[in-house]
Amino acid sequence: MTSKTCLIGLGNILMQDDGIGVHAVREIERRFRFSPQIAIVDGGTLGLALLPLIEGYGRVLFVDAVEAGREPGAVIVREGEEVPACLGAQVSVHQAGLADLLYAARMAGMMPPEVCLVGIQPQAVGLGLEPTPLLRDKREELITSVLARLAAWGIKAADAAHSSDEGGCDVQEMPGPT
Amino acid sequence: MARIAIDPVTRIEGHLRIEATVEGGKVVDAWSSSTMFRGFEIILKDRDPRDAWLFCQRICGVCTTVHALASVRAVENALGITIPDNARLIRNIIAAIQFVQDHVIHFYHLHGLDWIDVVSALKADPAKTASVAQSISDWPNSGAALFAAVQKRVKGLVDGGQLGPFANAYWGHPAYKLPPEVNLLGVAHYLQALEWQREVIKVHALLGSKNPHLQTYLVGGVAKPVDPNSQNALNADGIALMNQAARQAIDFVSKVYLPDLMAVAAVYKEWAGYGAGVGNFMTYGEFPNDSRSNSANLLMPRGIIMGQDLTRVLPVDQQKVTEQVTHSWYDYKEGDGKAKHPWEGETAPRYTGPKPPYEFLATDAKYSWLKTPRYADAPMEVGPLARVLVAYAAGHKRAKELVDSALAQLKAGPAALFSTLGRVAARGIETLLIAEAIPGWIGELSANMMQKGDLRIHEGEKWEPATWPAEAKGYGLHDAPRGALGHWVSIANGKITNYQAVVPSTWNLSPRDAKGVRGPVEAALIGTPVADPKQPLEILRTVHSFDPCMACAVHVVDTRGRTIAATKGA
Repeated sequence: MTSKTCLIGLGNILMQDDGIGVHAVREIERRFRFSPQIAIVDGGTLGLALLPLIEGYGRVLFVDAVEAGREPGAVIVREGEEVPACLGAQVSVHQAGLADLLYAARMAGMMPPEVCLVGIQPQAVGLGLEPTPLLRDKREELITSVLARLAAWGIKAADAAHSSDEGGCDVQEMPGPT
Repeated sequence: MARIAIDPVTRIEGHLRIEATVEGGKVVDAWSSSTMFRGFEIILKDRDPRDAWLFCQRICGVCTTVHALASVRAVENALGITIPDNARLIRNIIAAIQFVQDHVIHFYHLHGLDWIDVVSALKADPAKTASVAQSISDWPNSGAALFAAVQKRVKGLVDGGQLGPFANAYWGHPAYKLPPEVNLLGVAHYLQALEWQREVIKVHALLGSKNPHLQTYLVGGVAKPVDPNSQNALNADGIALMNQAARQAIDFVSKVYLPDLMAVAAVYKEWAGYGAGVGNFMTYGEFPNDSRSNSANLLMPRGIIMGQDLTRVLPVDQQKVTEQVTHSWYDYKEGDGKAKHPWEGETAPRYTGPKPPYEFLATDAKYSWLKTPRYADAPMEVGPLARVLVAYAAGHKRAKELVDSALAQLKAGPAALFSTLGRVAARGIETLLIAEAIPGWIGELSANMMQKGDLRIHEGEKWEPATWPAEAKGYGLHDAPRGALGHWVSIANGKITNYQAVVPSTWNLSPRDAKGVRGPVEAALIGTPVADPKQPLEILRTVHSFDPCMACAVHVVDTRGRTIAATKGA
């Protein structure tokens, strides 16, 4: 059985480390090609409006700045039921939006069977287009965690520079697969 | 006397904080505050004005199209650019879809839960719910089996302790008055609205080339080619898709949203007596009928109503818009007493509030990150009620029909409009009015493409900075779903020297001004009954009726818990 996968970066790119999830998936999109293909979405701070984007996917992987009470730059991974639960207890930077999104998906019977959150503890979320130097240094670790999660789902990443155009990544924003 | 604080108030993205004092079961005074710094204007300084909209659309995830539109309009105004007719039509359609989707989602997913008790829906009889549904609308998805299935799903969530976004509400609060059947109807339509929105929002994907974060805005027009002979452009297939989405929008709004709204309003009629606010209403108007910059020829008229006087609609002059910082955590070079027009606006933050965690703000001094916008020195309510009242008072035919019909159903006079319930009703009424206008724009666009052979989408004459004056100033007005939005831009030598946005939620949630006059939400809360200060559901009803978007007003998303906490003061 093939299960389509969607990778969603969340955050506000005007707010320093808050935008780290979006920056990370943009970089992944630039640097890698995936087999089988995955959809990569810059989800911004959309909250409920993301529902049509996750619908129809077997697996959804969120990348987001997460207030987990850890040291800045710490990467955390949460699976399935732990995602909204984690958001309830540990307060993501987009907690309300993402938690509402997932509960609405569950209510509407649109919850993807597998959901994972790869989060990173932000250092600063003030006004600014760039993440803090600390988080910029940690970005590679964040990306490695995302790739590891994808690999566990059987999705192989190849360097974009060395892969053929075939099997490129399907940057699909809207709508989800039918 | 009890003082209560609600922080944050918005269910989705919020840094809005309300403090209120309650005496004898009623609110006697109120303060609205934003507790997060806004100031994205700083980021735009020294940038190419043609890029400003790209940054602006990231201010808020709920309103991406809204800020992008105000931004391109401001720059076009500064540079004296008139966009092609096709660009006007595409922008109108995008904005109208935004309105329809936003208002429906607000009703069912945010504000509805202030009126509809989800837990009570478990007690409903699905067969009776079906009769209620069929008595108020001929919407087809109204069978008992459907309601039974919804009830089962909600029961599963409640039994599993997973009420999710509903978990923080005040279920069982005495202020909930709907019978279980109407509550179940509301919950069923909450779910149907989720399914409906994905169809309607396809128009954004089509016209925006990308959704979320539409990519087709462009100073001078749009970057969406129209060509009946191209697969890569907006063609006959695209027109057909949009017509279908427009029909679905009109159907859902007329057969689900409005009937539900009226069913809820009939039970909560006393809310026509609460939440009046400042009584002054301003709208920039929206949906231009021609392509002139900030044209006054609009589907929903521009205008001002003062002191609840529906016999007179006054004109809007953007020069009379100012912002004060007497009660805001900013400094003005000339001192706090100054009221500054946005072209002269400053964004120099200086926080003087209490160090968190704190119990209450020092509301005698500065207490908000929102500035205080005023029009000719007066506070103005903006949003659906302002638009509908101005249209009604100006004699707009469809607005009059819809308002008079709603008032007749509720057996109320126009005075009932100045209220929390009036605000809720106005939102529904304008949703239908706007949805009904969409097919006309699609028709015009189709005629331009197919019959007139007019495929122009962009005016490029003033694209190159070499064609610009050394200095230019402009403003872009957009009446967004939440109300009057203005972007003001100053340009020198091809770069932005100053950028100021005065957003709807700042108008509505502004703190007091230099004279101590309350902002619209602060004023609207006076007199609101509060049965239990620990569960201030009634306060939320009035605040949510304004549809605050604090992500917008403060330009950031939530960094704290979403719990609506209420504490009782001495």
